[in-house]
Amino acid sequence: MNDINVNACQNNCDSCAPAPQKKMPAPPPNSKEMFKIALNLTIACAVAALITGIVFIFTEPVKKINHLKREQNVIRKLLSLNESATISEVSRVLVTRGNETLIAYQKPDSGVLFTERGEFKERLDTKSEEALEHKFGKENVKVVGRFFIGREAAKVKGFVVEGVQMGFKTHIKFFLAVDDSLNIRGIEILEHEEDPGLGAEIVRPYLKNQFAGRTVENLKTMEVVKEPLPSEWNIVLNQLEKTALEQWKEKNAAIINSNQKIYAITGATISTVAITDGVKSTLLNFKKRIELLRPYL
Amino acid sequence: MKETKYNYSNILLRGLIEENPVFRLALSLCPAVAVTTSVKNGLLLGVAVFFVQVLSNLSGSALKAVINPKVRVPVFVLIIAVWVSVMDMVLAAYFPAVYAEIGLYVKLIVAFAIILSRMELFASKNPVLPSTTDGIGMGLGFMLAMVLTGAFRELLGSGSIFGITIIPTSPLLLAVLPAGGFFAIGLIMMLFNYIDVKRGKKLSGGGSHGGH
Repeated sequence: MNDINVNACQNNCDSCAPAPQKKMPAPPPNSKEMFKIALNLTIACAVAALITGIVFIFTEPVKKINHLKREQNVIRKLLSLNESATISEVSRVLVTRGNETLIAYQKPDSGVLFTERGEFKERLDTKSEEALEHKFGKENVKVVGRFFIGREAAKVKGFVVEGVQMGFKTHIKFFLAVDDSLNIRGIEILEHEEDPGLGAEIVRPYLKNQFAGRTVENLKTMEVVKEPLPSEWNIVLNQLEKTALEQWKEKNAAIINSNQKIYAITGATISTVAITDGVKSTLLNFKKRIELLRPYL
Repeated sequence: MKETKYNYSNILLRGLIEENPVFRLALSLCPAVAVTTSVKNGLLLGVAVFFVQVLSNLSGSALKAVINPKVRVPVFVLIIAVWVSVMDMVLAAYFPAVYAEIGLYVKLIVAFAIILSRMELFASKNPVLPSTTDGIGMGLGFMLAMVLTGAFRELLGSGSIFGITIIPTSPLLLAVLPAGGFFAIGLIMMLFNYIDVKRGKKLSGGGSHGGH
């Protein structure tokens, strides 16, 4: 397509006409000068690359550990796990084998494979996502979600599910914590870019704690309402930051039951609806998945 | 600037008030508006910019003899980029709490007009010590601007300073939104000019040394 016949072209345009002699550009720097400039830039880039590379080598492992630590802390806090509790991560992986799409759940010790409809297929001896990639081919494996199981003395205390929902601007990433019978323990917003003073209020106790202690059935009927948050309910919601969930529920049962709705943040109804929808869909999907997966955990 | 004797305190103070990067030179307004929703955020970014400015001025001045004048600007940008990357990685690794707040904006420092502008206007023409002093002055000036704007906006928009509630409601939510940032900087700029007029100076309209 590129070999246009220049001679056949009748348009007297600049793009294919030979450059007219009279319009000579300024003489280029002589080759020695040019070499010097190139060398100067090359050395500068090499030194820059070397410095950033060295710093990267030292900081990257620390960075990864920090990230993991932060996640683990959030999970421990949400499930109120004790010191000896263990947390294991389970990733949900989309696997293409031949022309069928399968869903694998990769645990730290082994994996389980299901069909798209949720029928049990087989157990896998893979021990990591990398092992799955090795088994099915890198291009056939795609991690689509993950959740964590918190155990105290080998007994499941609860789950923390990672959820992502489109907010007002970009995605809101959050952790949803539920106990063994899937009652919500709490949520924690991990990443968001909502407007400060408006949507960013989703991280505040008075919004996120409105979900705490709800059952799946409660949540299904919970609607976002554009009403001002009752001040006594606000006080109770803030108290949860310093009290254990069980005690809080017992003490404030009446007010919790009388507020079976989510009060929208003033000026940020979209963000409130987003997080509510996100929690709803994350929990309902997780309920389906964990029912399938429970015998194999 | 041909004189060989440098008045260091003058160089240092110039960046704070007389040639304040934000309120006087009106440079790097975009990030200034984006970050200053609270005093804490403003201060954190101010500290990050301070380090990048000082280190860039220092290394730019130290290396000016070996940098070919034809590629001076690209090499300066490279120097800034190196320091910003180093800052970014060090913050992420050793100060994760700070990084969680300002990580998004640290990378933007590469494109901060004020840093390249000081390297080109000052560090490329002056020895290491005055250049470093200039960097410290400009860095502190930027930090001051960030803190002032942050305090103004946080107090009006969220009713608090450093997250400590001072006014129980938010008196003027607009202040904390992007548009409010421009108002805040404009108003503080006005205050700077007012002080100048009171002190009997003529309005210079820009940096008194020109060229910005």
